[in-house]
Amino acid sequence: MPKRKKKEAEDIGFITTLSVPAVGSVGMTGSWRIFLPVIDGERCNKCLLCWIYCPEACISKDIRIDYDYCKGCGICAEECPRGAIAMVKEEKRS
Amino acid sequence: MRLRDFPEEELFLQGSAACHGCPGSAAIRVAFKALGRNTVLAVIASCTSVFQSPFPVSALGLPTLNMAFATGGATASGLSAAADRLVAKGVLEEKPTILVWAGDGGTYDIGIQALSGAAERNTDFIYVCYNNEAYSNTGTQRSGATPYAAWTTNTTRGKEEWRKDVAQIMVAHGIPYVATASLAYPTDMFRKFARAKEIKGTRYIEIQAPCPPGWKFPSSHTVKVARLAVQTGMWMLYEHENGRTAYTAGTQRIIQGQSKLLPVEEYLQAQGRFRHLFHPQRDEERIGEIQRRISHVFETLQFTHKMKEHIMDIELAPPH
Ligand code: SF4
Ligand code: SF4
Ligand code: SF4
Repeated sequence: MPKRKKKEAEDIGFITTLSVPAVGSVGMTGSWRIFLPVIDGERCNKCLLCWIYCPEACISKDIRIDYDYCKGCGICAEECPRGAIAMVKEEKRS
Repeated sequence: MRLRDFPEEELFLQGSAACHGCPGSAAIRVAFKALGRNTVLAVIASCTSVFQSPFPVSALGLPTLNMAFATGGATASGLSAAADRLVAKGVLEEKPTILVWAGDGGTYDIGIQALSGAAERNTDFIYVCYNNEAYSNTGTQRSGATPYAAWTTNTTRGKEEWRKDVAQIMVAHGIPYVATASLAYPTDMFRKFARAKEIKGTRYIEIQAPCPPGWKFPSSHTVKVARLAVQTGMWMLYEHENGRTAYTAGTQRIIQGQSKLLPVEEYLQAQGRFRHLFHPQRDEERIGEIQRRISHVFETLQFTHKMKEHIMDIELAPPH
């Protein structure tokens, strides 16, 4: 780096448009949901398909859903081979 | 690799700006799991530039450089050279995997020159095209990857041209590894990324990415549509290494006769972008043309497979 440029950079400090990784980068995306996936633990055989297919990484490896961020896309319910996930309309949730 | 052996760590963080059922984020999850933390990412203008969320936060848990549409190959060349230098100077112990993540617009149309240049130099990086078959980011305009007869905002009666095949163009570059992948076959996809990570030189992986708003199907059907694409032969799974192409997962099963090639209509009818082929009346001509092309490819591959088995039988038979 030329001398003058280096001096300038030092005077200004390190400036850059650097983003930081964060959970919830656009907020609590659970509020996007219209239907809520509910897992029936009895039927689930822990095949992990819903875990890997969820586009939002909202299902943990021990098959629990993070409702703060789950967008309610319904892929987990559609793909579950055991029919263990039901999509329930949000306001009907007890 | 079984699902239960996949790493648990998530490098794609929840609460991103991706649409419901986004194939891009689903593909990123599997790719990041296979490649691990020692990866440097260059995101080329695409939906991923948007759904990683606005400054000053990001849903991508890897060091990321956001770059313009045409720059995938050039960015990778710079990153790869810099990483080599840092390793030589002893600043880095191990060279990180250089990963370019681009859409079909940034690959098929705008980025192909830089990609081709980098591939010709056999630059050491992995190039991923997640192919949602249109410019979905800007509201679904046609790209070079949009299939024949598909609706987009500027092909309102269906695209008139056939899509080009960039994976095969990359095979023609003679690079060490080319593979195609599908969201519906995550273990196959994981294995291909893990394989690519082991190899030095230019590696190209293309993932078909069914996009709910762009292709007009419910957000819950992303994986289902991806699976139908493979089962009907609209998307083929293979890897090409050392001059040989090996078909994998669902495509291999069809070629070897373990499962049937489904009629392409089942794939077309699952999406609103092909609705004009069925309503108000069936467009026999265009549906038939798509089916004929697929059937031709699969009949040839099935025939070759049978011939190979037959030749093997002859070789293995004891001499009389
Ligand atoms: S897909 Fe169904 S059976 Fe498999 S782990 Fe998920 S809930 Fe359980
Ligand atoms: S509904 Fe969609 S976002 Fe929510 S857990 Fe299921 S797959 Fe994930
Ligand atoms: S338009 Fe399609 S590819 Fe883009 S973020 Fe939305 S679902 Fe994902």
